[in-house]
Amino acid sequence: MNIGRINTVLLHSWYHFTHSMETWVDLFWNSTVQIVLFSFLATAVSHGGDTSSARYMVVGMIFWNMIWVNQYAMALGILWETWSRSFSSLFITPLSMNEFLLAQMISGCIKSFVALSMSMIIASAIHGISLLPLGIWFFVYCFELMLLGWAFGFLVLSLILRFGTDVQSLSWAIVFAIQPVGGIFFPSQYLPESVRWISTLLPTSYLFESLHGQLAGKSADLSMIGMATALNILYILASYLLFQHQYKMSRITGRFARMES
Amino acid sequence: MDVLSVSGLTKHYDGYTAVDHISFSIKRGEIVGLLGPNGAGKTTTIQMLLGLTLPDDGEILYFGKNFLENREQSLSRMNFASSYSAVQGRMTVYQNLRIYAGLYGVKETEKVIRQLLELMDIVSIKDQVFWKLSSGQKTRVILAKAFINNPELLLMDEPTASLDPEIAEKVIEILLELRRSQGVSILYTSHDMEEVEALCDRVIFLDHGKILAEDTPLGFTKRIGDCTLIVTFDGEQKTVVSHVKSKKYAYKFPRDEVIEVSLPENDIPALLFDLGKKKIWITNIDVKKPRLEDVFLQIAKGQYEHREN
Repeated sequence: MNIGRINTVLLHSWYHFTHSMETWVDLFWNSTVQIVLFSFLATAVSHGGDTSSARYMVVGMIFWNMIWVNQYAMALGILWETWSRSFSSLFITPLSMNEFLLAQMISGCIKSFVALSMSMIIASAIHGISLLPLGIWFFVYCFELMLLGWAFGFLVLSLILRFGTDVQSLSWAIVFAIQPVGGIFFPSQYLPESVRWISTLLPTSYLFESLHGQLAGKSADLSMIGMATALNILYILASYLLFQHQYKMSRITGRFARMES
Repeated sequence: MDVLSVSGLTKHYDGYTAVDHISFSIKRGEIVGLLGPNGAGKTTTIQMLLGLTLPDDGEILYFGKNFLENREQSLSRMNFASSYSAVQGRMTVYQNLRIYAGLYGVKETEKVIRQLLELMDIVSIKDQVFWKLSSGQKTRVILAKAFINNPELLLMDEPTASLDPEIAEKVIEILLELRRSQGVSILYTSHDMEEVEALCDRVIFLDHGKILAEDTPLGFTKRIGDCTLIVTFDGEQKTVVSHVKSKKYAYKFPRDEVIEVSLPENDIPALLFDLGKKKIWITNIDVKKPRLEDVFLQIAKGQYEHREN
């Protein structure tokens, strides 16, 4: 790993960001509109007396940024180069794939904290929600969700290396599959019994349960956080290994060199 | 020491062999042309030389060291340019060069970029985004990128394909100057045979993934041997035909008073002298020597191997 090259890819991300209206819209416009919607929705639900459900929804949407933005940044980092036909130009320099991905992960981390901060401010202004009771655990939850975003990022990149840009729409879509069953916007216990088992496989179910417990005045649930960490480690390792396998296979089959053609 | 040494390089794709056990080397300061018709295996070879595709068999050594084991070190000493490659379209010319300078760890970045912008005559477009440039401007940016790390070896895939003749000529001059002043080695592919003849010390012809022949451009043209003598004459066509036939030269008549004869260059004076003696009045003579293009066309038509046999 060469720090100079990682910094250069970060500079590349910044240069690109300043010229890409699409990225601004995807990351900040969508996040803003969604948190405004969810805050209004929560306010409406609160009028019915259910403040707990209202809070669950808004907090879910604030933290959703950590998963979505990190996954999006990783996948789009490669897709932008593919669309620009500059993908191979980057990888015939001494830059390694791991350096490139690490830079994309750092870039995603920065973008996700910007999006999350923005959502927090809006939610606080509209719905009066505060995440201060989480204390230092706020960063633990963020990091855990970031790990899940990266795991999805590796998964999407593996699919792109295997099937090419035909599956590029998954870069936006795939992570949304966990929204209904991940215990993000409502507790997993309210899921239909037939799909509830899926939530037990998702780190978000455990993380949000602990997180909402803390917001309700309890202390952090270490067993829940431990379970989420174990699942995250499992998923990020599995997805990284899958990515490495597909990366190698794409160089053997010639798909890697043909990705931008 | 060879700058690049390739031995037994092989690549199979579903059901066919794109590159079939090719071996060649490039010395310091040498310019080698890699030629062949479409599907000959040039692109796959270059992709393997750049590490974008992994070979099934064989070995690539850069500066005496195994490429796959010393990827970072090898790539930092070389570069690649193609009129078909690109840099990030959303970023400006300057930003792109700044990024590639960073990736190659170039020192005195600003000075190097300024020199390259001037060398490639792209100072005026440095703040324009890449995708909005004309194809000729894009190619010049790609060439600037290729020179940014002061490479010891350049791999170039039709680098002048979309350039105006004047700029293309300037690029060739720059390449020759880089070779002269810094001993840069170049592996060069092009469909412009005149360019290859002017630039390359040696040419490798690929066909169906195999090296069909390897020689200097002059050596190749000598292999073809015969040149074409075009004679415009005043006199009996029968007399001309009977004499040319007697010498067993191939011939044709594009017009009644013009004959094209295929013969060894050394036989030309004797033939003209003999025709004169037979009272054939020669009004014009033109000699077309064989060119690399003829060798290329023979290979493309699948005639070259037959002729060598």
